[in-house]
Amino acid sequence: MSSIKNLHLNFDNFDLDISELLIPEKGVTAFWGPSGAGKTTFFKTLIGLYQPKGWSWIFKGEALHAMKLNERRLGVVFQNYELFPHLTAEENIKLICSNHAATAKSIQTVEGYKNKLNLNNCWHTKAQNLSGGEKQRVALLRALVSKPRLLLLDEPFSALDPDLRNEARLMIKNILLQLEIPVYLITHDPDDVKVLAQTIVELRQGRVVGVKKGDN
Amino acid sequence: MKHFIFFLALIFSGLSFFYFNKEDKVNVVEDRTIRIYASASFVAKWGPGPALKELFEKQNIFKVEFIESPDVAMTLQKLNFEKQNASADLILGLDQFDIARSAAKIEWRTLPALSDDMISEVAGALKSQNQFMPYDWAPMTFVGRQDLKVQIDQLDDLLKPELKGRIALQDPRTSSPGLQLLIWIFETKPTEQAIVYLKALMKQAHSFSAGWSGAYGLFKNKQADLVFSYVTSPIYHVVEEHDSSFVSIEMKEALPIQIEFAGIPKTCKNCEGAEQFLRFMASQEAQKIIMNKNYMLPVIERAKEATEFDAIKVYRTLPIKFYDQEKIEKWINQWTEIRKNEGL
Amino acid sequence: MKAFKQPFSFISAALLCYFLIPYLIFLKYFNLDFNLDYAEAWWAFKNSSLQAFVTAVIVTGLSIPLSFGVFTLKNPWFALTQKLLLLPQILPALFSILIVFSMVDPFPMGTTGIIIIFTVMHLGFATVLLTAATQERMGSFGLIAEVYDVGRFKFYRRVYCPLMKSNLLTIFVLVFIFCFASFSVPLVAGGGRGTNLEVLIYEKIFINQNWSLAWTLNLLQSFFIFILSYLILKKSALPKVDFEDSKYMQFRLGRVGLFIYLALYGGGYLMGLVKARGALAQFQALLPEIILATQHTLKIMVFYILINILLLITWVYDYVKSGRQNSSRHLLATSTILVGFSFYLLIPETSLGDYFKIILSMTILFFPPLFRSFLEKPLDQLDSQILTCKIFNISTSKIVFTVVLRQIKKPIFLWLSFLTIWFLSDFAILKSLGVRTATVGLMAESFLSSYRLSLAYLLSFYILIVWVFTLLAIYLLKGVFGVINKKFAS
Repeated sequence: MSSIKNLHLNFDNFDLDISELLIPEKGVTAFWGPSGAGKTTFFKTLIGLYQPKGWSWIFKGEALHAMKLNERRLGVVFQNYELFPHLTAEENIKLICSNHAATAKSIQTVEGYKNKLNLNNCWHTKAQNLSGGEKQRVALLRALVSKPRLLLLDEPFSALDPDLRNEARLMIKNILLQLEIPVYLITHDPDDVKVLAQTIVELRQGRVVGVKKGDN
Repeated sequence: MKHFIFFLALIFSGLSFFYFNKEDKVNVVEDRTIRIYASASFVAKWGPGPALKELFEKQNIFKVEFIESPDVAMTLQKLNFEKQNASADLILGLDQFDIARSAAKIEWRTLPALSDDMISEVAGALKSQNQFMPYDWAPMTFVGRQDLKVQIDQLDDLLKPELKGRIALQDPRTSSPGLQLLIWIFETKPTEQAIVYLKALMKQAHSFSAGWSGAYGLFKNKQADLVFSYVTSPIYHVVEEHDSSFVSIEMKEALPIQIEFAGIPKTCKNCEGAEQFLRFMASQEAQKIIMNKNYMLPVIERAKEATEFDAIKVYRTLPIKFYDQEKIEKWINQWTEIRKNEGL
Repeated sequence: MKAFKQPFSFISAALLCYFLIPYLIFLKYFNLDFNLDYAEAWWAFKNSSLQAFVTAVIVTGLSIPLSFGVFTLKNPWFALTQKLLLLPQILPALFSILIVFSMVDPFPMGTTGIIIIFTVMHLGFATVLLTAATQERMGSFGLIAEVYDVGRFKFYRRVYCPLMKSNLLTIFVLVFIFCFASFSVPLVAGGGRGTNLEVLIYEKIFINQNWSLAWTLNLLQSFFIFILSYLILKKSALPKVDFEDSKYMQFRLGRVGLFIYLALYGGGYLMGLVKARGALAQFQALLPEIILATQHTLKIMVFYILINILLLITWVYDYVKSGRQNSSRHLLATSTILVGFSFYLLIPETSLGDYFKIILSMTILFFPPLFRSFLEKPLDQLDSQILTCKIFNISTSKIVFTVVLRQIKKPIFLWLSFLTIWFLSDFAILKSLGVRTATVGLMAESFLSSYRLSLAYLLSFYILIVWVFTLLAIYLLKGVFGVINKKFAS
């Protein structure tokens, strides 16, 4: 189990207060709660944007809290995807690939995912011209090719319309099952939790109010 | 991308090396070269510098290298710092005020008598000192247009109501002509009267420009009817622009004179050459060149014969004086106080 | 970018030292002298502040409707108008003074007069700046407001002003600083209030030959500006958005204002040019010298632009690596005469020395204000993308070249335009450097200082043409480099 301890952050109108939390190191763990529960703050802390004093995060025996942001090897899909708008979908992916020592195998992996995620039609389109769904899939592919130890998805479906959301959830569920990468899913949507989560951590007003098993 | 950057840097370095290396060879200073510091207008093609250089080099073994001086004050300060390492052989463009200011900073070579033929107005400058040689001069007065309807014979006429806001002047804190006017007023009037006069003159001034060119530009643009300038200024317009509508105004008061001096710092490397050049500058040929290019009067009487400059009236002028620093500062402070209280 | 702020960056320190070179030189040669007339210095400071403050308020305010006027224009008028608005940047201050004096007759001398001249001189620049910033910042908010029929004035009050606040503040501070440190305008138009700190500095040099006092005054002035810039100009975290034109972003009256401004200023300039046609023969006779001066100028300019680009890349690299903008962006009002003099003292009087002096002094004086005007905000807007790159452990140089620089091409081009205008038309810096190499700027100065005002007018037009061709050349080269870059990358 991954453990988070002594995560205390104080802001003007809000405190995030997690004394101890144990999270599975595999499968999908959903961090669920209404707006203002502290999900985004928690997410930013895991990425490394906030550095609370005295906290610890041990994941698969490694102290991630002590690592710099670029050393944590996290695959992140932001709520607004944060693709590089002037680069094509292909260039967005290659930028990450080249950094992680592109090998023939990586390139093969990209090709494989490109097909699975149905990105062939928009592969040479600039990110600023992609549709919402296409952006989401490119962002996911980008996160996957970086060979992360952990995938962090921040409200990955909130920008999509309801029909697409269902489709996207199922697609991601299939891919995650194949890859066996642990995932932390930040969401306020109960449907996301229902379809994807194996573990549910409920957050309210900056505190963990419950941890339970999901339906998957 | 890395390869491209490296490639670019290599080309850039290579080009720089060849370019600068080539330039360096061209600029090797020879032992026979005289390094002369002068203003931009002196060394420009239309200034006297190039013609003087050509003529001098034909007659002498020395070579002349003109170095454009940003401002005399800055050049003198640099010489002060460089001390023995200073490379200036001759400094041109010094006026009476620069000489007073530089006295404490720079040591100058004593000059032998370089000409017997100096005109009387300027010869006075050599009586009290033998370190600076005058090479051109001009009385200063107000320049206007032929169609000026106001009669001006003396300084007090400048206070006439028709001239309110119509006189372009220079700021004495930043300009030699400006300082000349200020001193003129204090030298021709008792102190109390001078202060009253200055207060009244403030209302007549269109503006106080930072330098001569700003004030003259305003005058030429017809923003002002009068400008404080050199008596020789109208000649430029006659010769270059074929425009004889400008006049220098003769005043009852003796006019102040602006003299340009040359001096040889004691740290000169080619002192002999510098002295030769000074001797040359006092010759009739050189004086004609300076007169025609600088539009200032020659220091040698015969140089202006049969030229437009010969037609200039002989004005009554104040004797040349070298004022000490404290006096200049006192006058400027008085001017500044008056200016401050003129308000918005 | 809090997570990335490194405690010490060698590159940051090196950049700061570069921009502090004149101060370091002065420290070596002169002691500080605090034996000031504090009453006089306070008087000068108040004058500077009042003139600069009022001008900055007026210019910032007027630039808003004028920039909306620019948005009513379609290309090529859109681009051409913005070039014309930069005319006051090319012409010597004396020309602007003469033009304004002819525009406003009788001219009110004193603080009012100074403010009028400053406003005319800086309004075009502020409008161009604001137009560029609006395109970067406003996205489709105007369109959204129009669709929801929010109402024009409500849109300005509740959407435009809050979103553009930091850009407007940048323009305000830049105009304030340019006016605060101005020399010739307060003197000529100022009446009793013509004394400002820059004039005092010059007075200490010219009258008192007291360089220590002059340098102390300059240090105080620079310190004040540094603090002002540091306190007022804060980082804004809004991301870049694509601009959509809309009715609310256009203002017909602004277009009228634009044309009046251009007609009066441009007309005043053209009248001066027409009057100067009598000097065409003289100009033709001097053509060989002018061409030679142009060659010198262009040679130096090539290296000058390359050094600026190198500085920019280093700055961006430092920003990405350290997570903060370099402090030297607050060094906005270093006295021209002292920068020039410091290099005049230090660097020998040779052709090679001239290159070093010119490039060093112009980069030190021009880089911080132009960076702040055109590049600081676009860089700030890429924060979230830089963060994303860091999460994916992308190298700093890749972030700089692939992500950052490629997205700020348009601001870089604007920045280069200003770098070249200021370089081509400057003579104040060149004069104080004591350079021997003939340049077009120095030629203009020597015309002005020797009765040849008409020749100076003609030369200013010539400089305008050279500037346009320079921009075209940069544009073409940009295309060529793009092609080479793609070839190498593939």
